[in-house]
Amino acid sequence: MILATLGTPAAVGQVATADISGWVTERIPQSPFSFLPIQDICVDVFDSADALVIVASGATASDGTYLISGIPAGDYKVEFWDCTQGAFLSEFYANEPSFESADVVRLPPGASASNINAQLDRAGFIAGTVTDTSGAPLPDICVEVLASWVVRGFIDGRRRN
Amino acid sequence: MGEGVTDAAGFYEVPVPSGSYHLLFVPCAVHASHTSSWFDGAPLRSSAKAVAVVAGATTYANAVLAAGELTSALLESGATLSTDWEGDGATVTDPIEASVTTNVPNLVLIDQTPASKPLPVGWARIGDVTLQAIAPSSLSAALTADASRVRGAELGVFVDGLRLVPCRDLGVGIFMAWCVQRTAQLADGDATVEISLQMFSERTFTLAIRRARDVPGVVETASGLWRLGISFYFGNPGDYPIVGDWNCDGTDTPGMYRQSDGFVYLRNSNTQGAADTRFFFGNPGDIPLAGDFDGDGCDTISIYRPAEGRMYVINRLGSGDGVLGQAEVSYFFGNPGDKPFVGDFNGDGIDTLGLHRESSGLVYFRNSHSQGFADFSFIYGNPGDRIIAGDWIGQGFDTVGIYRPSNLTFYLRYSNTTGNADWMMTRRFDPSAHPVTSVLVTG
Repeated sequence: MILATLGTPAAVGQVATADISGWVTERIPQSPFSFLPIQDICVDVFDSADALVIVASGATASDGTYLISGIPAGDYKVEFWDCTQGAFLSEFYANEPSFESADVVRLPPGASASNINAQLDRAGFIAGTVTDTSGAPLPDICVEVLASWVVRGFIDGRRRN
Repeated sequence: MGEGVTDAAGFYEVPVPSGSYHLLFVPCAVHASHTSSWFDGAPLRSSAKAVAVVAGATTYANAVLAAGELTSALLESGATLSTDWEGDGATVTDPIEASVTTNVPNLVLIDQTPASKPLPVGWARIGDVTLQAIAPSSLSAALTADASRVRGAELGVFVDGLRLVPCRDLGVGIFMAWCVQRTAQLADGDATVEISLQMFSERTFTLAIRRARDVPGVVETASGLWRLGISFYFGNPGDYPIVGDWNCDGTDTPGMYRQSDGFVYLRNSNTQGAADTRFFFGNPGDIPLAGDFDGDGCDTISIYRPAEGRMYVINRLGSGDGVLGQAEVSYFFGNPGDKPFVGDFNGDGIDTLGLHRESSGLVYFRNSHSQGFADFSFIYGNPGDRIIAGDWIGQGFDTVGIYRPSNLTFYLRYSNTTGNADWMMTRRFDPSAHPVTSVLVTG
């Protein structure tokens, strides 16, 4: 687990909030040193202990940068996801696929964390229709997508019941 | 890798990285009325086609789910998923109900996909359960069948037509892929088989029963030695041996008819010891025949009187040195010299009379305790053979067998038809060996 701890101490008498900032680009497998900024990527800051608690949110600008201010001191996990087009795969800092595996961003009182960057993969899609034998559409069918080459390992999703 | 849920139109879309994937379509509800399916209709992952996805593009994969019962859920480690397809919460009325516990977080599916492999002779399928676990894991599963389906029968679990054996330690780091931990009867009479599984994907298990089978044995009358799989002494030299379930506990035990004094001696266990029951019975020369002549699950002793060619059916046992009294039913059947035997030839639970004419090998029997012509006849055996009947392979009805003293060999036939023996057994029996039939006791 990597702890990212940056910034300067808060002045006496001020509310000890901090910023998280970074740059979101597209990962291009054929050109690993190319950095294409992505606009309108949503950035959510989670309480590191609770995947249901979003502390602050922001979005990337046209140059792919983002800045989220006024975050209280604490430990956080940061998710990047394509909230407008859905063209990119979501991920957590630092390039982790899930909340559980994400790195913790530690913000002491008044500190800031920069370079909380992400490189997102462009998504492919599997889509289709599920019907019964008479051709009637079936709602509420869960579709589990599993890597075909995985023989050992655990499923990484969570299915609602 | 990803997951989605179909909307009201049955449509779904799942973003994934470039790659190759298996798709499982499974109703989100725990108990569902549609089965699951892997892409392209494959019932199991091992036969599923992979779907290739390229970044920035959409791969379309439709699915059709058939109607059927499915129970599935994402389980935490140590959690159990149980089927109760009727929702009755208690007695099993489906062929099987199942519960599965996983040792790792796992998506577990239970359905009733039919198994394709046939079962060995003598086993009758109760039903099939397919268990799928998406993650490799150790599973504990219990397959439970209603009491009415398994009463008085041996229970077994099969995979691909092969019976699961009891679990045992194979050494450090070596596991049995699947094995039986325990077979138990539940408080409500249902029977359950607990199995352990090391599963990487899925498997179809068949729960099956084998009705109690009969096995041939002998009594060496010269010494009173009984050889019914286990050996023990009972009776005196020269006693006429009979075998039956005298106390209705499902186990056949020995009896003796002492033709010199007309007394019957019955014992309720297959061990050496004194008779548990003793009573006076019949006339000199009568042939005692043990069987369940009224279908009540208890064996009694009737007699065949060769001199009259007459069967006397008695549905009770005597006690306390008393006289048994009159027969409930009597009727004429057979010719002088015919050798009587009994069996449940039509599987109705009632033993009836058969006769063997040793001179010609003719076997003929009736399926009811009434006077009349034979219901069936065929040729089996040679002169001098001694006939018996039993349900040798758990078919639910009795067929004939003969013991040939000249070569100390049993020849059993699995149908009541003319033909060669289906099974033979030769042992070093004493020349005085008298053939008997008893229910095989299984663990």
